Parts: sequence; C-alpha cells; structure tokens
Amino acid sequence: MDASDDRDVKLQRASADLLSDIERRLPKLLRKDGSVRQYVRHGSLQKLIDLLEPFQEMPQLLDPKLATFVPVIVDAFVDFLILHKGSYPKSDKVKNDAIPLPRAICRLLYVLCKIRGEKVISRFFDHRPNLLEPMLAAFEAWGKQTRLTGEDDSHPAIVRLTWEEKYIMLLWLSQLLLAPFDLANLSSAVVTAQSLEGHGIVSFKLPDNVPYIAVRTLTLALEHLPSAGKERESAKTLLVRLTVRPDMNKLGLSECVIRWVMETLTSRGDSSGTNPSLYEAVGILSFLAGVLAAGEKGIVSPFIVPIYRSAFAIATDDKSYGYLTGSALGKRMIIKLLRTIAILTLRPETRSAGGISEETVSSILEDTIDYLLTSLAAADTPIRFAASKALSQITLQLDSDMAAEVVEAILGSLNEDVLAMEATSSSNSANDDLLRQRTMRKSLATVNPGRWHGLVLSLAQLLLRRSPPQSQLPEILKVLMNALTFEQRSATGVSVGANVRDAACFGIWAVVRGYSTQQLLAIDVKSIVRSLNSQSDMTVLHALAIELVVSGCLDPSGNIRRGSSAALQELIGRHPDTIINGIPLVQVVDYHAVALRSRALTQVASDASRLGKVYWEALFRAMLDWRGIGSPDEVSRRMTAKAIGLLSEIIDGTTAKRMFADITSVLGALRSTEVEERHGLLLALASLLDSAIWQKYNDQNLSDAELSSLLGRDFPSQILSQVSALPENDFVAFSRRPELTAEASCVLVSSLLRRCQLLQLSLSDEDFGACLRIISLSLPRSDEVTITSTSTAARNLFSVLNSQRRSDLVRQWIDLLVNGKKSVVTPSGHLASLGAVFALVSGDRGEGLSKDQNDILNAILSYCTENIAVEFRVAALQSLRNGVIKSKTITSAIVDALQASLRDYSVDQRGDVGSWVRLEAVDAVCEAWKHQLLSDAAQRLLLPEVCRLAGEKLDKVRYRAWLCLRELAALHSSTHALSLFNCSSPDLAYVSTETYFSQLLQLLLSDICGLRLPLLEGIFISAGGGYESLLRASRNSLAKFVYELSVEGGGYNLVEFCKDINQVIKTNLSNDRVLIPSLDVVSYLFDTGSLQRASEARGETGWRALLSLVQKAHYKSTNMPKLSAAIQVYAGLGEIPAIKQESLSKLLSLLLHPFPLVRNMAAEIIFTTLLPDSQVNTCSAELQRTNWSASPKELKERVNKLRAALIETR
Amino acid sequence: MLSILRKARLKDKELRVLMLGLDNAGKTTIVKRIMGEDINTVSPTLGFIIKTIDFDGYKLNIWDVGGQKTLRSYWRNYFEKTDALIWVVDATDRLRMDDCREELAGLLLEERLMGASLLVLANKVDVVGCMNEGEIRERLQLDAIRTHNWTILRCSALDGLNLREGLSWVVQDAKDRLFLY
Repeated sequence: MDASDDRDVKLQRASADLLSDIERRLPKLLRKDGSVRQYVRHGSLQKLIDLLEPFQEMPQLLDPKLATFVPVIVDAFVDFLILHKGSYPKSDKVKNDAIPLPRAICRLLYVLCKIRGEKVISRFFDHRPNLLEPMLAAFEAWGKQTRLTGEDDSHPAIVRLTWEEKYIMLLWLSQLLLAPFDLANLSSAVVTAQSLEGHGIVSFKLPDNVPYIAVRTLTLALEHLPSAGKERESAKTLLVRLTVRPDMNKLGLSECVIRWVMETLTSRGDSSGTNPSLYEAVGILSFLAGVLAAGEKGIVSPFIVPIYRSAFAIATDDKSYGYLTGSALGKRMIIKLLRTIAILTLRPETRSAGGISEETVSSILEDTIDYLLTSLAAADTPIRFAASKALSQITLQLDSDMAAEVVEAILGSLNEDVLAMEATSSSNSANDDLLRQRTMRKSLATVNPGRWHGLVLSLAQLLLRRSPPQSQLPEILKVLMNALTFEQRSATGVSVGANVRDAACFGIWAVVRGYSTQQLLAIDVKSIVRSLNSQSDMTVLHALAIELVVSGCLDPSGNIRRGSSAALQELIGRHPDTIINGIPLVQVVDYHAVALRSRALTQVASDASRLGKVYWEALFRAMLDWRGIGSPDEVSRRMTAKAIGLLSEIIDGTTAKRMFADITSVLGALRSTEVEERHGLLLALASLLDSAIWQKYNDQNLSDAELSSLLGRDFPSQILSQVSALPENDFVAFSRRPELTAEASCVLVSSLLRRCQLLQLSLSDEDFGACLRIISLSLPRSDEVTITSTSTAARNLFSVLNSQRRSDLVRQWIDLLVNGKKSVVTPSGHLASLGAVFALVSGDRGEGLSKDQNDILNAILSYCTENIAVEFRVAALQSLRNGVIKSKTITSAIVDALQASLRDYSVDQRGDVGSWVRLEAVDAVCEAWKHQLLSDAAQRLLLPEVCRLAGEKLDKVRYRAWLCLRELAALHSSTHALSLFNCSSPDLAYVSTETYFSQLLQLLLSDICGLRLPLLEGIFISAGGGYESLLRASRNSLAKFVYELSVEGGGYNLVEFCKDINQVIKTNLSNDRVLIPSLDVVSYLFDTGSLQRASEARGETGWRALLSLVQKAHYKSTNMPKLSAAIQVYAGLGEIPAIKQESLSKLLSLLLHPFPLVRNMAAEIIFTTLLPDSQVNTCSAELQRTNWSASPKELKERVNKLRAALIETR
Repeated sequence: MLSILRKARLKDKELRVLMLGLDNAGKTTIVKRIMGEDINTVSPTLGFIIKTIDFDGYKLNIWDVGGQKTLRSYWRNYFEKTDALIWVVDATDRLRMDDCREELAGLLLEERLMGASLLVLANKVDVVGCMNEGEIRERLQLDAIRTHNWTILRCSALDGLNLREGLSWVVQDAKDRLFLY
C-alpha cells in the first residue's frame, strides 16, 4: 500500500563499489597465472552473480563497464574453446563445488544478458569468423558426450550441456553468422541431400551445394528450436540469421527452411498429422516473426500472405490449436507475428515486392486489429501488454482516418458491458452527486478489468505518440478519468483494477505532455465531466488536475499516487497559469509526500484542499467513496475518518454542517450488509464531532436557538439515530463483523458525548438510553480496539451522568462480573470500562475511596487471582493500570495483587502464558512509580520482583522490567544505585547484551535490601536456561563480575555471594524452574574457577551446607537435567579441599544410582577431575574398564573397592 | 508501466534536464532563445515550466524552475529522474555569488540528483564588465565538485552565444553515460 523507498538511489550510490569489486574478481575467477582455469569454484561464481544482480533495476549503470567485463569473459571462453573443443573437461577429482569453466562463463553471460539485454551483450562476443567452426565443433562434441564422472558417482549418466551453455553458445553462433563472407568460403565441405540423413532431420529436402557448415548450423538450430528453455530463443535467432543470409537465399536454403517450418506448423492437416509441441510451435512462430522482421523484402515478401493465412488460422482455431492460443507464451508469439505482418504489409515496397493486393492488405489489417482488440481482454498481463503494444504500433503506421477508426473501436470496446444506470434525480445537489458517484462505479461492475487495462493502456501508448486527433480527445479524456477511479472488488473482497488506474495515469500524463494548451483548452469540459454544476469557468485541464490531486492523495496504491503526482507536475509545468494555485499544488502533492499512504491521506489531502474549494470538494467527495471510507481494510478507513476530520477544520461551520448531512445521507443509502462502509462512515462522523472547528463555540453557553442554527435541531438525536437503530444482531453475529460496528458506534458515542459536554448541550433521557444500549452491546466484545473504544465511551458517558445513575451502572456491571462469572463470556470489556470510570465515581472529594470505588476495586482484584483465565487476569491488570492507578489510587490489596502477578509463572499448552501477566504487572508497577504512589513498604515488596524480571530469560519481559527500572531511576537522584540505568537508550536488543547484565549485576553491590536474592534468581534463570546468545551474554558478565569480587571484606564480596547462592538454592529447592538453572550456573562458576577462590574464606560449614543442599535438591529425583546439574556441582565441590572427600563419596554412591546415565556421568566426573594423584594409576584403569551401564548389583563390589581405595587415602 | 516508459525513454532518446539558478539569472530567456521564441516578454517565472527541445536527435525535456521556489518537488518524479542539471549564473551579479555558491552546493548534496551531470552557464556575458569564466569558477568553487561531471560555459541568452554548445555538451555527456548502446 505504501510505496517502497527509492532503491535505485541506493543502487546508484553503491554502484561504483560494486563495479570495482566485479572488475577485481572477474579475472581471478576465470584465469590463474594468465591461463584459463578448467574449473571455477561455485561460491566465487555465485558471489560474482550476486554482485551483478542488483543492476537488474538500473541496467544503464553497467554500460560503461560492459566493454571491460564482457571481453574478459569472452576471451576466456575462446581460449578454453581452442584448448578443449574436442571434449568437455573431464576430471576424476572434481570437487563438489567446482563448475566447469564454460558452464560458469555461460551462466555469467546469461546473467548479463538478462540484465542488459542479449542484443547489447552479444555485441561484445568475439566476431572472428574463424571461430565459427570451432564453436560448432565444440557444441556438437560437448553436447554429445559430456560425462562428468565426478559430479555424481552413483549415476554416471550423461550430463548434458546446461541450458545456459546452449543459450549462450547458440547466441554466439548467431552472432558469428553475421560474417559478411559466404559461408562456402569458411566451410571445407559441401553436402548433397544425402549427407544430411545422419543428422536426424529426415523430412528435410536440402537444395544442392549447401556448405557443410550451414548444414551443421541448421541442424543445431532446428534441434533446439522446439526446446522448452531459454535456448529456444537463441536457436531462433540463429535460424533467422542463417535464413536471411544472402548466400543462403541464393542457394534456396531460406525458402526451403521457411516452407519446412510452415509445413511443420500446420502439419495437423496431414493424414499422419501430429501437432507440433507447444514449444516447437512457439519456436516456429517466433522464427517466422524474426525472419519477417529481419529479412530483406526480396526474400520474405512472397511468404507474407501464406504466413499470415496460417498464423491467423491458428490464432482463430481454438479447437486444434487451443494448446497454443491458450498459453500466454504461444498467444504472445501469435500477436507478435501478426503485428510484424501487419506492419510489413503497410509498407508500399513490401506490398509491391510481394504482389499483395489492396484488398488483402485491408483484410489483413482488419482481422489483425480485431484480433488484437479481443486479445486485450486476456487474463494474462503479458498478453495484454503485447496486444496493446502491437495495436499502438500498427495504429501509428496507419493513415489518420484509419487510426481514428482504431481509436473509435477502442473507445467502443470500453463502452461494452457498462451497465446503463443513470442517476434518477435531475437536481444537482451534492447528495445526488455522491450517489451518482456510487452509481457510476456500480455501472462498471461487470466490465472485465483485464480488458479495461488493455484498452486504456493502448490508448495511453497512442497518446504518448500523439496519434489520436484532437477531435477524439474529449471521449478519450472521459475514459481516462473514469479509468483513473476504476475499481472492482472480487468475490472475496480483494480490490482489483490498480493496473487500470495505473494505465490511466500514464495516459493522462501522455495527454498533457503531447498536446498543446490551446488544443486542450478548446475541449468542451461539459462533455467530459459528468456532473459539472455551476462552475462554468472550469477547463478540461482543471478537471484533470482535480482528478490527479484526488488520486495522488487517496489512491491505495503507492505507484498510482506517485504517478498522479508526476502527471500533475507535467500538467502544470506544460500548461502554465491554467490551474488555480498550480505551483503550490505541485509542491504539496509531491513525489515524496505521497509515498506514505497515511501521510497522503491526511496531511497532503488537507494541505491540497486548503488551496482551493474545488480541491476540497473533490477530495471530500472521493473520501466518501471506495478510496476512503469504503476501503477494504479498517486501518485505511480509520485514517480516512481522521482525514475527514482534518478537512472539516479548513472550512466554516455551514459547510461542516453540510458534511454531516452528506455523510448521513450516504449512511442512509447503505444496505445493512455494508458493514465496512458503515464502520468508515460512523468513524468519519465521530471525527467530524472531534474536529477543532467547534472549538470556538465551547463554553459559550449558546442558547438552544443558536445551537440549532449551528448544528441543526435535535443534533444529538440526529447523530444517535445513525447507531441507535442498529439491530442487536450487528453486535453479535459473526458474519456481520460485529467488532467493526461495536468499535465505530462506541467511538461515535464517545465523540458525541464529549462534544455535547464541551458545548454544554443537554441530552434527553432517550439519548442516554441509546448511548447506554450501544455501550452495553459492545461490552462483551473481546478485541483490543473495541475494548478501548468501549471504555472511552463509558468514561465519557459517566462524565455526563448524575451520581445516582453512575452508581446504578457500576452496580449493574459489578453484578455481572462478580455474580455472573459464568454468564459473562469475556469480562474484558466490563473490566476495562469499570477501570475507566473508576475516577468518576469518587463520591465526595478527599475522603479516600468511595463505596463504589471500593466495589470496583474488589471486583477487578477478584479477577487477579489464579483461578481466573490468564486473558482475564491480563485484562484486570490493564484495567487496574489504566483506570485505578492512573487516577492515583493504590491500596495494599493492589500491591499484593501486583506482587502476586509479578510472580505469575503459569504455563499451559501455549507455553509461558504467565509472562503476559508479568508484563502487565510490570507496566502497572511502572505506572504507579510514575505517579509516585508507592510507599516505602510497597516499594520493598515490588522492587525486588521487578529486578528479578529484569534478569529473566524472556526478552520482552526483561525489556519492560528494565524500562520500569529506568523509570524508577529517573525519579531518584544520581547517587542512587538505580541511576546506572539512566545512561543507555531504550532498545530491545540491548537487554540481551553483556553490558546490560553487567549493569544489572552492579545492583548487587548496592545497599537496597532484599534485592539481591531475586536479582540473582533472575540472572541465574537467564544464565542457566536462556537461549544460546542470551546464555552467553549473561554467563560472561556473571563470570566477570564474580571474578572481580574481592574474596573477603569491603562490601559485597565473594563469600557473601556464596552465601547468596546457598540461599537461592535453599528457597527454591522445590522449584525446578529456578533450581536447575541455578545448579547449572554454580557448576559453571566452578568451571571458571571463580568460586574456588573462596575455598578458604567461605569455611567448611558453608561449603558443607551447599553440598547438603545439592543432595537435597536431587534426592529421590528422577529429573535427568537436575541430576546432571547436581553431578556437575559435585565435581566443582570436589575441588574444595575442605569437602573434597564428602563430594567424592557422594559421587561414588552415585555410581550405584538406578539410572545408568547417572552412573556413567559420575564415573566420568571422578575419572576426569577427582582422582587424587596417588591413585590415578590404579583407579583410572578400574573406572575405565568397568561397564557402568551394567546393573548396579554387579557394580557394587567394584564401587566398594574404589571407595576403599579413594576414601582411605585421606 | 514503468518499464514500458523506461524503454520508451531510451528508444526515443529522451532526457530530463533541470534548469536552475538564482532568480533573474536568465533561465527562461535561455529556454525561449533556444526555442526561438520572443525573448522580450519574459517575466519572472513563478513555479516552473516544462518545454521539450529536439536537439541532435535527442528530446530534451527542460524543466525551467523559477529561482525563488523550493525545489525539492522537481528533483524527480515517478516517471522520470533528472539526467542533467543546468545551473545558470548571472555573470554580472557579483553581489550574490556567495548565495549562488551555497545554493549550488546544497543542490549537489541531494542524493536524488546523483548521477546527473552539471552544466554551469555563465549568462549575460554580452554585458560589459561581467565576471569571466575563471572568476565564476573560483567563486563557485567548481573545482571542488567531485560528485558530478561538470563543465562551465560562457553564454548569452540575448545573442544566443554558446547556447547550442551547452546543449550539445549535455547531449554528448548523455551519449557517453546513458545511451551507450
């Protein structure tokens, strides 16, 4: 929808580097020490191709270097050719990533051809005629016996030449055939008809004296003409080149070839007849077109009529040639051939040379043009392109009368299938205009969009070449303007027709470029613009400019917005001083400004409409149509509504009143199923109500009379009547997209209530009833947008209700929530709304919480408990944050709920759903901090929890917790420990870096009490169970931190840290989520050798406590990760002298563990780390030799022996 | 659509030329002189005017942009980008040479004009006492320009001196860069 950024500018900037890189790599790829390589590496070839590919977008950038690049490649190929023409390179030790040089070169050349076009590239091929023979020989030899044994040993099948090789070599051959000498001079032998038999073309009767080399070429070309790949094209070129050679013609070969292919093409007439294959037919058709285009008139003119006959027969005979005409490729070729023929016959010299009569010419032309007109409707875009190009080229060759007839025919086709739907009313009011607009579009509902695209494109191409005479311009312009707003919706609601609008844009651009100001001004504008009311001074140029401005602002497709902007520039630049505010208009509807749809729709449209009432009218009108509120996606509709609001700020109150009327009249004309349009229109109404234009009337205590003159009588009821009558079904039935209706109605209700409040407009009871009904109907919806709009509506409603009614409503909703837990399917809406009105039921000021507020709070908090579904817990927390905490209320119950939610680790089949709750809770805490609501006690409860979350393994949780800490840090002086967080910029990636974790660890040094353990817990989870990169970052920073701690004394030290480790493990003994990662981290810290530094200072009791904690941790556990983590810790503990024996004995006992895996691990650990030097020899052999997977009973004796040996060494 | 147009532009040898400069430098007069129109009726250009000049088999679409307008909008559009810049300097206006230099330098920074070549026309050399080429070159610091292929020519819109030469430089430059094949 939004236009992409300018890639070409970036490419242009990068091109110099790319080119020099290519220049550097190219020789290295092809040659080694000056001689050509046999094989090149696949990787380096691919790298080079990757460097070339970007130029596809702007091939011209390659041009200056082509003369350097291509000859280098070509020379390498020639050298290779001379060396290896007899046989394709064979090698037994071909590595997998090696490609034979010819293959690599051909691939490179193909890429270049693809980018810059084969005509340009082939120009650089080596033209020496003496290459013809070797090249042919190589092709023949390589094609027959290319066997690459190394490539796939299991299937030593014949590896044929790849299509790139064939393509390039055939192309090269065709280039070589341009040699001006007779082929007979190059060829050593001459053949008679017999010697051709061996070449497989049996049905071919050759004339005498054909040089052998020509026969070989012919064989190759004919062999590849029917192939399905790209080589067909170069085979065609080769055949064409051969056929049109004067010497071949003299020999009669040309005629012979043409006759033969014609026979093949139409062979179904034979009794034996099998149709040529699709690709063969395509090859032949393209060959014929090529011959006709390239051949001298003397050679080809006798064939024109016969070729035409058979081509046209094929084109129109769907029964026998359906396979051909049904394929886009085949049809394009037919079109191209017919085009070539038609253009040829228009030249007098061909006519005379071929003896073609005038009648034949005109019948050819008529049939061809007719065929092209039908082809314009084809479903495949390439066919439409080809047909429109053909049509415009032929038309350009015609004399002016006939050209005008073609244009007439195009215009006629455009009017087919247009439904006759004239607007019934004859009056000229704005509403009718709107309706007419809709009718107009409906009348085009049945036309074929593909056909329109083709037709409009042809018109545009003709206009670009200034073909249509001025007298036809009015009709053409009318079509173009219709086409500029063309749109259809497919059955599934997808918008179709962007290509039609694109073509129209192109057409208008071409018109204003090609025709003079006088010519265009002379056109009677009333014949074009359907509903021109009074403004008689409107010119065609102006009408066009208005349409372009509208398209530039509103079109959903970025390219069309840009195209319109370009056409507008051209219009205003070529026809100066004809457009109101033309120059500012060009500057507003700028190439860059319209790139982003949201900007085009709101800012650009509003700026443009300031430049003239006509633009305003047109834009507003168009916004009410499919490009605005009728957009298929709701985002665009919301944006349009906003844009309409902006438009209203430009004009006066009366016009604004008219906008209301216009919108309501469109609303009234909607069918009940047009839910999306209604969504857009209701939002537009709301946006009008929000518009700043009413600002000046606020608080003026306008009398009723003044108000009704301003807005009309019973204004609120009028507005509400748009929604109050909506059936309940629209808010419930799935098929009616209830969320759209609910959202739009609620937004409208809130806007209305706010506006009424500001204007001090009183509402009747019925109005309140209507508002309430809408809100109540919308409350059960659970999507976020609706919830937001509903709760806003609720808040706005409450602010105009009296306290009694407020209380009643609150009671009603709470009742639903608390007592009807089962009946309310999704309480999210109710929760949000209760939160939203929390501040409005405060009762008498300054008395703490009112009864209603308490009730609301209890109701919400009752949804924060664990037996409630996660989604609703989230909703409740949101409501707490948005309603309660934002209105600066906090209670100990809330703090408790928050604390519990921060610890929510619920898991279900969707994974860690508790994280949603934690996220919401963090945000709520953050909110509370912002308002400085938390007492010291509450802070002590919550801060550690947030710190823990700041270390945990989910990125987004960590991120939000970090943001929360930053928020808190901002409140404190710079000396505070948290001020560390102030420095870096908020970025989601940051919280996964080492720096982040180091910063977090610094908090351990602070004196904030109760923070250390949760923080460590959090970091342990990341460092023990995070994903790979997180694991690395957190572990690195942890290791560094621990390494830098002093062992004893001076604040936080290693001993303290060890104590904390014990504590973390102790408190989480039954909580595997923390326990296992913690054990992992401890063993990791042992591995890094940092914990060992405290082996003395920590004292035996400390270490022993850890040992016993680890024992407890895995006691009777069957959890393998836990067991393995524990074993690793034992390994570490074994390095502490004080408890070495205990650890060892623990491990020894694990040698008899029921799990074989555990036994193996324990054995391995003992073997690798814990054997005392004196026992290494005896025990290691014992440990190694034993099969630790055997049953424990068998192992018992050995273990006892080991134990005796190891423990007694004490 | 865009590809059709790109091809057509290459085939028809069309160029988009932006004609810029401070106000009263004589841009419109130059265009009119080239077009063979009456040059006595020139008034300040508000905004811009597009004219097509057929020159040497090439079609030059000249965008004559008023000196006092913000320019951004004309640098490129959906259909075409700028192939050449013609910067017109009033060789008699010594006072505003610094302005002129700054404007030009700012223009050349714009990435959307990258790849366009620059022709500086020192206009009004028929007036006695005007600056010579070297002086303009120095005061505009043309020699410091590395990003664009440039040249400077003395010209006079009144007697048509060097105007054709200027255009042929533009075309020749385009031949070398854009229409190689």
